[in-house]
Amino acid sequence: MMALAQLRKLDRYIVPVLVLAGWEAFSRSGALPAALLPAPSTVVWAWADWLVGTDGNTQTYSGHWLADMLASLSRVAAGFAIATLLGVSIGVAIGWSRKIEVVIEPTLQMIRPIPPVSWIPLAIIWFGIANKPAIFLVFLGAFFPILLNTIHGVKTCDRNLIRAGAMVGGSERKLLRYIVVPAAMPSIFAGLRIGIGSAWMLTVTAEMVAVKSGLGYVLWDSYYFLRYDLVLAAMASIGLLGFCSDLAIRFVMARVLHWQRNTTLRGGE
Amino acid sequence: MDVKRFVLPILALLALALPTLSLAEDAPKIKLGYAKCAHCTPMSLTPQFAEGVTIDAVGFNTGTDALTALVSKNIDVAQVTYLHYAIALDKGFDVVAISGQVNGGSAILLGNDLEIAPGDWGALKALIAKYKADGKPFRVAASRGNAQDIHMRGAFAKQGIDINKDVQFINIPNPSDHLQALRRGEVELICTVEPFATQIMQAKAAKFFGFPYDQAAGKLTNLILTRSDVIASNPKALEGVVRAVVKVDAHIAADKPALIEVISKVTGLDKAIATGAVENLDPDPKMYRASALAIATMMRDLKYINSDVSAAVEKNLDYRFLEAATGKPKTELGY
Repeated sequence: MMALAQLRKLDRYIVPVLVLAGWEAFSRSGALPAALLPAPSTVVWAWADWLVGTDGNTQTYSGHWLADMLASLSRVAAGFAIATLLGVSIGVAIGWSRKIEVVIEPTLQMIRPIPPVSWIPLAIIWFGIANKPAIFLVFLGAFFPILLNTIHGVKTCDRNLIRAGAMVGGSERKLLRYIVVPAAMPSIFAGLRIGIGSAWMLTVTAEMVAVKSGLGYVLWDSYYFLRYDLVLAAMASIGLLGFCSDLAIRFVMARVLHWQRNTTLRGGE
Repeated sequence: MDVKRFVLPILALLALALPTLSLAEDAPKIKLGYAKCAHCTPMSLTPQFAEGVTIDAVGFNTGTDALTALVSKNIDVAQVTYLHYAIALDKGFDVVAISGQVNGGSAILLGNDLEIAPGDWGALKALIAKYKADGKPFRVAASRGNAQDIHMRGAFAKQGIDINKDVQFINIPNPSDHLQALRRGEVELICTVEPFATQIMQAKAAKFFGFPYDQAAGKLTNLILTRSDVIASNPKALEGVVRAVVKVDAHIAADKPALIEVISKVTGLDKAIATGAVENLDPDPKMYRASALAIATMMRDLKYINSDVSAAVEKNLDYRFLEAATGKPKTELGY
């Protein structure tokens, strides 16, 4: 039984290991030039140099991973924090007030389908070069998922709960604070999880805009010099950090939504 | 239902179309990629100047995209820069240069508030020294790895300005962002590419300082690359492509309005900007061996590439097609 349980724990590694092994074999087969599709081992080698400066093969980036990671992380954190603040507050307002919904929502819904990348020229005009336009683009990527999920969460709040709150004399402010927002929390967290993923996705786009550091910047710059190993290492870095950010949100969610434990499907996991 | 009513006209149409189809099949096809910059847009004219070959010209956002398509065998010929050529060889890709195309296109621009006359390198050096003494960074921008970056670095080095120590280099990857950086005073100097240089000057966001051509790389910019497997399988078609490039170059050199037209058409830029840009473009299909080697050396020194590719740069310049297209020996074609 113990052995079976251990085998089950290994299940999650089967697909990644098979993918990596297949990729390594294909890259080494000579079907494509090795520089065009670097093997995972080559990517790891470049990544290691970027991380700690093993042999200087990544040239100017050797040993700079931490600085690049922190640069991207700070942009994502700033953009995501602003998106959370605005997305949740505007979302609650729209969900709660029909008047605000009528005034604001059509404009937001019109802006929503515009791809964040197309905002680059305006971002530069408004914010110049360096960090500010990059943070703006990350914000754009994260804002709408958070906003929409918050609106959904507020709008689907159980009417009976609000009635009960009103019956015991709850003011509108108290109803919002103690009933509506807590009830919307699962949706808000779903929005935050989608939003953090979008924020990381937008990092690569955002760092096209005249910044001098960051994982996205390294990705673009490496592509210009055909350093596909470093491009893949940057992609993997962004994926890893996105995964860790999602874990952090899930950690907070588990604590904030502790009342959900054992009351929902897989809530106890 | 009278089937004959439908079948007969279809058969008649097929009979008419078949000779055309077979003729089209006879002409070998080449997929050619080019970037959408002012220099590169004339490549879009190659299909109409091609004889004995059908050229499918595909526009890419950047030379890197075109090069990636070439090395991954999605296209047969790519218009890139000499820098891309050195980078590709450094990565071990099978690329062979078969023609030049257009050179020039770089310009050094200064912030409006800097009191320096065009071409006055002495004043520029003094100003950079003053910034340094005052502890202020003199911010110099370019798109790292572009021809303009190499041109500027070479020109600065020739004037005794150390780009790593005397100034602060800022990489602005997209040249279309250069205008705003200058307008907002975020950099003091930019070496940029046409037509953005003209656009910036016409918008009065900066003023002209000079051309960065007085250095070992000269004004080399664009190069036409293919792969050795295409050379082996389709040499006649490649010869046709090079002939088309030579004809396009002759056409735009003799008829500047035609070049203005094509820049305006492909990039969507205002004709006034295209008119300014063509003054800084030099249609030239030759391949300059010595300057190409200088670029490779500079790129190694700058750590843009890891290895010494000088031998490969020289070996992979294939003058055969250019010789056939121009009727001149390679000694007259930049060798």
